Amino acid sequence: MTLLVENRDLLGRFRQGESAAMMQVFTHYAPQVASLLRRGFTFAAGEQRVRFSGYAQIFDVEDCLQEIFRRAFSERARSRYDGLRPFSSYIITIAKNVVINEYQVRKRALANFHVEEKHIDDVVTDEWSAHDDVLVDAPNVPTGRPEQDSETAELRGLIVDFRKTLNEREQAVFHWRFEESLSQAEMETRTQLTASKIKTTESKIRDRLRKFLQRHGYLAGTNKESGASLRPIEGERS
Amino acid sequence: MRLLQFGNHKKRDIERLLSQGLSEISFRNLWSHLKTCSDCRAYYEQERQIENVLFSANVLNVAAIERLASAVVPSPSISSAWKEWRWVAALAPMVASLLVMVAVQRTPPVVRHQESDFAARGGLSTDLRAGLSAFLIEPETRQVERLGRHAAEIPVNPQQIVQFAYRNRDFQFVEVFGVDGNFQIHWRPDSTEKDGGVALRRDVQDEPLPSAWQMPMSGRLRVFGIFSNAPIERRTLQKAVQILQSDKIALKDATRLPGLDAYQDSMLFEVAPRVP
Repeated sequence: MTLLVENRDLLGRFRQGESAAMMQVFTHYAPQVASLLRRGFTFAAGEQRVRFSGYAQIFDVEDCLQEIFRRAFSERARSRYDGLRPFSSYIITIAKNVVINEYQVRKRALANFHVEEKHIDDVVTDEWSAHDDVLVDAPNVPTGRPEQDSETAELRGLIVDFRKTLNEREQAVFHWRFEESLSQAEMETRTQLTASKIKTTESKIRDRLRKFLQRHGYLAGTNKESGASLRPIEGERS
Repeated sequence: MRLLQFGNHKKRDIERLLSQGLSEISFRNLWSHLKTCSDCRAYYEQERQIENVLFSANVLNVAAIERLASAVVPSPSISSAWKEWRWVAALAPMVASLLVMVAVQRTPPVVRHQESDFAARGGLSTDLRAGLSAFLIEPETRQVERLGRHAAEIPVNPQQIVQFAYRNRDFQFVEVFGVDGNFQIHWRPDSTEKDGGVALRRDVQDEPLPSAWQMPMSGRLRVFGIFSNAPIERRTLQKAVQILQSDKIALKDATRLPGLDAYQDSMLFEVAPRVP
């Protein structure tokens, strides 16, 4: 994670605000920052230690991520980065500041509300854990919870079955796009398909997977507050 | 099953964002909507989870990173582009006394290629991939104005200078030229017979082309931008214009050149008569 420290040419172009350089920096560091926003962290607020338990919704992660990188990519922030220390430390500090600022804003907004001591037991203290999501957050790592691991394994099996339903072109797009994580531009070279055909095929695959998962009892319910869930609905799986 | 009913909301925009991509403005609008609409946010969440399943990814997959990078990384701003172009306006009086269509060279414009095969990709309908934009430079005041594309014909005066710019995701070349009401071709001011087009920068917005134009004639002029991944031969374009002429297609209807298997964009100008 010392991209800018080791690559002085990139650092120079980044400082000058060249789009391609900023793209490269974003691509390199965004997953790390997203992971932090998902899993949360602890920080000091006055004499208290506060636990930010991480964003449960992907939308919130992505929204906050945009804010963090907009700040990090501002002319002022770019010129302030010394290029000697790892940029990852710099961006993580900005990320934490963004979250802490949000905490302070919300705290001020709730200044007139207090939890009465005798009802303190009603307050939910559970923290979100990456292990609470099936496949979404820790797709390759067993959670150690048999029920969730079996659900993850079942989803994997479904994806294998789903893939068998694809035609040759869809198989190719599935492989290069989703398994090899190629960009659409790279896929044009690999598959000899036009950009529009790639996009159309990708769109069809998404639609069909949605229906496939629904047929197997997934995506059957969505909670507006906590977001969608890939959890199967009991008794509705075939 | 308890499927959520999303109504119309922004479901289509969300799907388009994830599978096709949205323009910068549409993305911003959609994102603002998602912040306030829990139904759409839930739908977005669901679609993103499907995407993560496909990619076997954590929170961010490669497609999400591409989308967010486009949202976060600023396009080269038009205001900064103006700083580069202002001197073009300063030359206007001298330029005006020269040829019909005058080039104001900004940089060495093109990469020369010997290859002659025109192997453009074709049939692409999305407007996100590439396109033309134009800016008007007032020679006296040096004011710069983006020319809107909502009007069927964009009015310009012959003494004004038009700077063309392009947006481009991944094409390598563009050829820009005008066709007037008599189907006469007006080549890009800095072009040469065999240069094959302007070499493009990728992932840019409003990137100025190497030359600014003064309109060569009065009346209608349609300016075409032909985007390709291979050098573009003049004779290919001449042939396309000949088809346009033989089919008697009016300039206002000729938004694309016929017989060209290439990504195209065009703008129609109405050039006011010259005042002696």
